[in-house]
Amino acid sequence: MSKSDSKFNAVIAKSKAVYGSRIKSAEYDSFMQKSTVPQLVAALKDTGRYKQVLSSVNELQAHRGQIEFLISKAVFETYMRLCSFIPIDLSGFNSFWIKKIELDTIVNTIMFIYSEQWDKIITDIPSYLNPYVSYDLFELGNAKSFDDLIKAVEGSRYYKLLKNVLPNSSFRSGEKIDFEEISTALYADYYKWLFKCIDSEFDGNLKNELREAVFRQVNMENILLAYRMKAYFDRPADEIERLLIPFHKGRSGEIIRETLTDSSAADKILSVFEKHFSKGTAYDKDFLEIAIRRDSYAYFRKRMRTSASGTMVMYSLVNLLDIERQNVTTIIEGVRYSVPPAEMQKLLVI
Amino acid sequence: MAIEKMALVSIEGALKKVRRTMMKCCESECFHIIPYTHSSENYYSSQNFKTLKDRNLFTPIVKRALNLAEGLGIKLEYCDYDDIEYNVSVDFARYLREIEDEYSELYLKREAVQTSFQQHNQALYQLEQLAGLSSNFEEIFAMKYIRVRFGRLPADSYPKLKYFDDKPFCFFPFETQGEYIWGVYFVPNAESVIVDDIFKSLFYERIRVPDYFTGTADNAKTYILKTIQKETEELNTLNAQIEQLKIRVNDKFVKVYCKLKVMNDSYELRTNVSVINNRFFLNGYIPKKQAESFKELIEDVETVTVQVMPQDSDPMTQPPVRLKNNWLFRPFEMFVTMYGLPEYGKIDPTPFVAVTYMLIYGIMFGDLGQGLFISLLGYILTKWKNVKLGPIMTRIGISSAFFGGAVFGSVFGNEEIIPPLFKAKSVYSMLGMSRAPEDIFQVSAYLLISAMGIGVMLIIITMVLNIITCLKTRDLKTGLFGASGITGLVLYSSVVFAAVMQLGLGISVLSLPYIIFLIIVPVLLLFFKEPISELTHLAERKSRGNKINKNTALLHAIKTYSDAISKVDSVNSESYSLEQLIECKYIKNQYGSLSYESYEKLNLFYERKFFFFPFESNEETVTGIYLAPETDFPSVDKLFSSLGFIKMKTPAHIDDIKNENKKRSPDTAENESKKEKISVGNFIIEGVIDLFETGLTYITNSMSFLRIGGFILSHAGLMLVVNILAEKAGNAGSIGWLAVQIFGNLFVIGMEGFLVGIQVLRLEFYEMFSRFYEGKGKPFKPIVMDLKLDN
Repeated sequence: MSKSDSKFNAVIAKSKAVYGSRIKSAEYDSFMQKSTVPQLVAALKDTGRYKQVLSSVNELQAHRGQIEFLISKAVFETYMRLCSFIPIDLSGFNSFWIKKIELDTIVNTIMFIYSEQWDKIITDIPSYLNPYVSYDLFELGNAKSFDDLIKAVEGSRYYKLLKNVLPNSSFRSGEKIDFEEISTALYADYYKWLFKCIDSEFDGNLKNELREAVFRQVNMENILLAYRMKAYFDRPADEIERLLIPFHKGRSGEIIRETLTDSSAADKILSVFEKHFSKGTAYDKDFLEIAIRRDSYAYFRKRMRTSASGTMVMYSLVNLLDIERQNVTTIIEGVRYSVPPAEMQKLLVI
Repeated sequence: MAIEKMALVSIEGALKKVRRTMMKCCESECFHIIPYTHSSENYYSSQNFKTLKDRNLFTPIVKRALNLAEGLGIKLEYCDYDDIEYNVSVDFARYLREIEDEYSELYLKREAVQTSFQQHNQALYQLEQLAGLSSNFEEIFAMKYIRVRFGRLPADSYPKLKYFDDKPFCFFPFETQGEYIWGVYFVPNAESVIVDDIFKSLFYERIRVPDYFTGTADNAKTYILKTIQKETEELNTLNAQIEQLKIRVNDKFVKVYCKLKVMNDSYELRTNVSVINNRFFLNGYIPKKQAESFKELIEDVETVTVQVMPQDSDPMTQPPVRLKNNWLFRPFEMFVTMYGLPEYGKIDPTPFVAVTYMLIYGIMFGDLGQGLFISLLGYILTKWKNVKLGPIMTRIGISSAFFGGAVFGSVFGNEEIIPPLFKAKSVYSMLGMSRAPEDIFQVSAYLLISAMGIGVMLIIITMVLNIITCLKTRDLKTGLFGASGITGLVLYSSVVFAAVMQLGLGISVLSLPYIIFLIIVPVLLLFFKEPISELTHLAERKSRGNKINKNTALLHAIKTYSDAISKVDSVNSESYSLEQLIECKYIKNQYGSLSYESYEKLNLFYERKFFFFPFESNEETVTGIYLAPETDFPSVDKLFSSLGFIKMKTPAHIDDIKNENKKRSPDTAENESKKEKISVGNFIIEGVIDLFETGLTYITNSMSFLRIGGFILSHAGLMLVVNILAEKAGNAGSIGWLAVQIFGNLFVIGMEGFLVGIQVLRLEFYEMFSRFYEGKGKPFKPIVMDLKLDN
């Protein structure tokens, strides 16, 4: 991979074209007005974005989980189409989305093993990822215990990490594990890998741009986690700090650490939160996660429009597509459980 | 050729007449509604104003009507409904119910047949997938200990079946179709629940094989086809009955719907109406020339009176803008609207755009034949499809034809039919040439210089327009010292004049007084424009800010509340602390920002019980905090909202604000010196950069017009290529020659005509508009009933 990627103009053009066919506000409105999932699926089939992936779905029989699976697959296929313009190296930065899905799958598997929902592991396995994944995806589906899981990822970069963070063979059903801590360790490793790739593959403005984008994601996730742990569970400072992904930019990390020890920390964390938001972003304390996603949406949209780098534009687009996927998932669930459109609207990131 | 003059109208009447009045307003099609605001004079007496926010009873009925119209296939469009006597929601509901009853009976029957029809079609489809199955259905379903499940499995899930190798089932795929694999699985009775769950989790779509499936798949297919045919006939009969119902009710239904929609929409508009003591108040703008007829129309409603006032009577709102131009310039309003409408009271640039656009386009794409073709195409598009660009094409086409014929002598690229202007002896001899140039390329240098000359003239005109606008709006800083103000105009014109005289005629005008007064002085004025304008215009702004700071509103407010009296002294002595005020028990505050225009409007509310403390400001916004007594806070809050105040969270530490405020306080000598120290460095850097940027902009803007000449040459070049290709294809008049000429000309018209259009628009927006035009006006949007939208 070269240190500059301005030659990947095709990726920029293609990404902007893909972004242009995004689900628009009026379309979201019309989706939310649907009273049944089949009606919604029929409407989704009419959109340029999901037309192809949902073409053979019979809306009368389609399962909600299946639609969500296909929509995730659509995001992945778009990402892979973009990768065809950039020589993709499965260990390089541009494989960020593959690595993200790999990791999400492992985290979900840990959760399902812990809650003994083994069938869910199989259902949730992103089979479309199989040709690119760094571990045996189908072996993972057979995992019934943490030992099985570690065995399934043998040979990949997750093996050593999981061996360190997962309980050993003496773990028995019913025993408690600190899922948050395990998840933090795994995502911290992901972000560490991302930063390493950025530092080794890029330089100049592009390097700064990418580092800022990733830092921003980490900061926001940390602040949200810290706020939740403090406001809703009143967890002690050292415990919260342990759960944070250990990458912070600017003073946000220090401030979080300082405020964690304070009795009114939740509010102080919020003020840190505000500083990180784009100017004028309105938010509701009850929907902080949505506020974060809205802020990310605005950030990546801006990067999409302004960046001259193919890698940055692709990174932004994939994140925007993922946010759009979450919007559609929210609406599918909302329609399924007859949530009023006004309530669904609050949860949308537009 | 300007902006339509507006008048502000205030409508008042008995509350029971509000609906009728709103309908009349809609009928007038010239009423731009604005939220009712109370003027400062009557504020205290009008605190009890309420907005009409009651539930609209017509909305659910409109929905019912729309559903019915959709079901019956009635096309809804606007028509007169004078003979419809329904006036209340119950009348409409009753009318609809009568039709609904009749329709629902037919609908339910049709639905039943339709469902059965769909099931049979689905079954037919399934049978087609099972065509390869040779066994009898009776035999399959007769199995006592084995269950059979036909269906399709997503291709993504198929590989996952291997996870369940240990489960007792067999899956036989028939065929793959798209993302699915059709097949059947067999499972022992005892295990069917578990295995069914597994398949369900893999999104297996099971198809229920109906019990009437007997024999082989082919036998079952014949039976189903017969049933489908019978059901089709039944459906046709029911559809005919529904069609008859539609024909019977159609005309009246459309009229009823129109009236219902009008009543519903006028009800929706009631949120802009204020009410007190059973009387309603409504404000809006109308074109001034329609004031009398509007007044007459509305006052036709009993008890309702209309007061027509000058457009600037309400300082809280900006009058909307409707452009008013003659037939020649009107189509170009589209470009102005694209950029943004002019503010009320400012210059409408449409005539300028129209003239310059036609002129530049004609020069850049001058061809008699192609111009007339574009004009004709524009005319056809206007008449046939009502394309908005059509009238513009007609006009620029004629301009292109004029320049093509009169100047370039080009008819579809042929320059031999009409002699071009540059071949006239008087012209080429004036250019210092001894004989006529053979083609336009020989005069390309003159062309480019002329193009730049046009650009310079246009830039000077835009500067003059900018000066007029600034003087009109009293923006003296920009008008006098701006790069496009008088200073800029003098500097730019002097440099251009000197360059033309020196390079063109060889006369040097650069005498010492010329350099000092026409170049150096303007440069210095541009460099020192900030301090100079600080002494004039900004000082005025500052004094206005202080006026608000020191007004007695807060004092007035605080005095009303005994508990806060202790704080009053500190306010009086001006040694108060903002922190103390913020901590006052009965005083609430809100931090945020508002536009500078709104900040200035605060002066109009000097009687209101609030205090606005600005912390920082720039040219556009003022950030600060407003304080008001607790009981008055909601109304003050509303006032600030109406002024577009953006609420922000109060910065974490009041001390920080206080300190920051102290830092910015113009009254502290220490801070003054600090400001001085900071601003000297900044001033020099900013001044030099500004000056450099201004100089660069003058040059690039002028150079930008070179494209006019460039496109003349490129047009000539392209047509030369077409002619050469045509000659290669055959002799003049032959089919090959004709074909190349037609396709070549169409290509040039399509590609170059379009490109030139974009380039001229670019010149308009970037090189000209950016000098004198802002486009911050609000469009005039009269309230109307939109009947088509909902159908």
